[in-house]
Amino acid sequence: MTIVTPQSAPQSSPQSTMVRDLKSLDLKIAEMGGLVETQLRDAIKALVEYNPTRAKQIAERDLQIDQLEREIDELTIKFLADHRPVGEQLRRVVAGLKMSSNLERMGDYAKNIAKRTIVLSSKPIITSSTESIQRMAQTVQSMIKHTLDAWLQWDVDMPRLVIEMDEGVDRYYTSLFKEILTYSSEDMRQMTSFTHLLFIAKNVERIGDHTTNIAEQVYFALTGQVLDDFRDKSDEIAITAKEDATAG
Amino acid sequence: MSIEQISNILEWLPHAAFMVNDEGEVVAANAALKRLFPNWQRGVHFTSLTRDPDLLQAFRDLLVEGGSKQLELVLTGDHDRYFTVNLQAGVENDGDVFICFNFNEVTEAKEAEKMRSAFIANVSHELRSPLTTLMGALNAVDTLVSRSGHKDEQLARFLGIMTRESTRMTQLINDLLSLSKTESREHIRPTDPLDIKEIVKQTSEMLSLRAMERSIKIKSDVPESLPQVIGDQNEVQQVIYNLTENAIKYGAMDNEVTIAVKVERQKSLISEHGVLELSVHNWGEAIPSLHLPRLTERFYRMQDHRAREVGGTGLGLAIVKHIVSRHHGQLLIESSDEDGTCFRFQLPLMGDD
Repeated sequence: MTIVTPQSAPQSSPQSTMVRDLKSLDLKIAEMGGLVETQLRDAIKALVEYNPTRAKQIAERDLQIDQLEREIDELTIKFLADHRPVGEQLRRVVAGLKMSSNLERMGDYAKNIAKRTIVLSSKPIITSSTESIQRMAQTVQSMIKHTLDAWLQWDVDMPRLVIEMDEGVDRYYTSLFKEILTYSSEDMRQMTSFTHLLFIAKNVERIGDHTTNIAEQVYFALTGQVLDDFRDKSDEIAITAKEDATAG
Repeated sequence: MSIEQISNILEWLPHAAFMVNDEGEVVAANAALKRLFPNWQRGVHFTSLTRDPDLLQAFRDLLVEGGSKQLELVLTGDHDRYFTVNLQAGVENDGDVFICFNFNEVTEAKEAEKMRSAFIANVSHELRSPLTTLMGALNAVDTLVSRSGHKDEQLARFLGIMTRESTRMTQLINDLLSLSKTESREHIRPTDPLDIKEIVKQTSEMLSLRAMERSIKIKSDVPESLPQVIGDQNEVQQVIYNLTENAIKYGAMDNEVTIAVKVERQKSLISEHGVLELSVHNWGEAIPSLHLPRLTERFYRMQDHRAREVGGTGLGLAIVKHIVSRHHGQLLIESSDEDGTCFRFQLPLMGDD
């Protein structure tokens, strides 16, 4: 793990008001992230258990996420006005702002999964696909955890790894898409259920995409560089490998 | 106590533990915690280790109220890990408030339970299709043999055994599936009102032929008006069906089986407002009392002649138990040679409000 040690890192002392305010912003983001992690986990649990009661609680919790996003907006604007940050601190608050809007979207997807689960739970149980969705969600869950950990622990290596994980999620989604399509064409009576499952799978995949956005923001905030460089390189490797294969 | 002293005490704890100041910053942690969170650093806010909203809320509550709290925590990641977390607030020598977090892992127990249910569901499902094919083929062989006019006692006997045993196996698999389905819905409380009269009526009709084979008469005793009870119609029907089927199978021949419904308004173990009771009674040899508490275990068999004679899968009462628990009800069993055997399924009544 590569840890950057910035002036604004928690260890620094004595604490200026700027460091204090930055910390309380971090705490808000951590709180919001924690809620989103829990929302996704509970939504998937409700889905696998066909549990409408659990699903209903998720819609209520989404209000807290929206509230936190507003608080982060206000805190950020106040921070910019009070401290006129430059360099690293500026990157960190701007990234924080972008993160919170990504997290809010992720919360919405979790809520949507819960809504569809309420509809599903009144229909016959389809375990095979819900379990596949659960496996895909497990990876996304892990991506969110590692991204937020990287943000709070100033870990520069993690964002790359998270983006690599998302490629796995995308592949899983493609295969799940085909699987659900096959099942639904075999049993037309359950078309409604399968359609909802398809959207739920898509929602999980979208949550993964938003997580990679956050990972890019984290990387930018910590290093001042854009993470795209690294992705281009990996593409180059893929192309070169193909050429080699053709040549051989 | 000073931070140093507390750190020393933390080291003695078998579970992962850390201590935070009133800002939520980690000021001490033990070796077990460093294994749980390898990225741990002194001075970080504890939300950089775990961001669970309930844990954060508990921390905030303790800062105000002091004392201690316990809660369940899931750490997500590549695999979910389950913990019971104890939080304890305290005050340092110089008056600063601190809070200790103690993580007790319970993942293994959770995982074992999950795997067992999933395994039963999957295996039963996979067994069903080859068995269906097998039974179809058996049927075809049976038809071929009888059409050819070939009379062979041995062949007929073996065909009979094969048909009987594969039917039994199908029944077993259906019961296993039904059991795992009930288990998977066990924590979802039903929401619809029950039609008790319909349940009793349908069960008597469905089992009347079986009863007739043993010259048993099914009687029912249902009051005209009944209070509303919430439940899953199909599941409650299955309970009464399973209990009545057993009553017929194990009951004395040339006798009667009674399905009765009554309402008791006194406060009881399961409800403030009393219960609605569905009972199934038969006459005949009593169930020895040592078997009574174990009857609802899956595959539990009384080791005596009756179990072998009547067959069955050993899952009927296990299914009943899960349905009863989903309805937050209770199952009472009484049995004696003089009074016969009575299975009573009590459902909680709601208040009038």
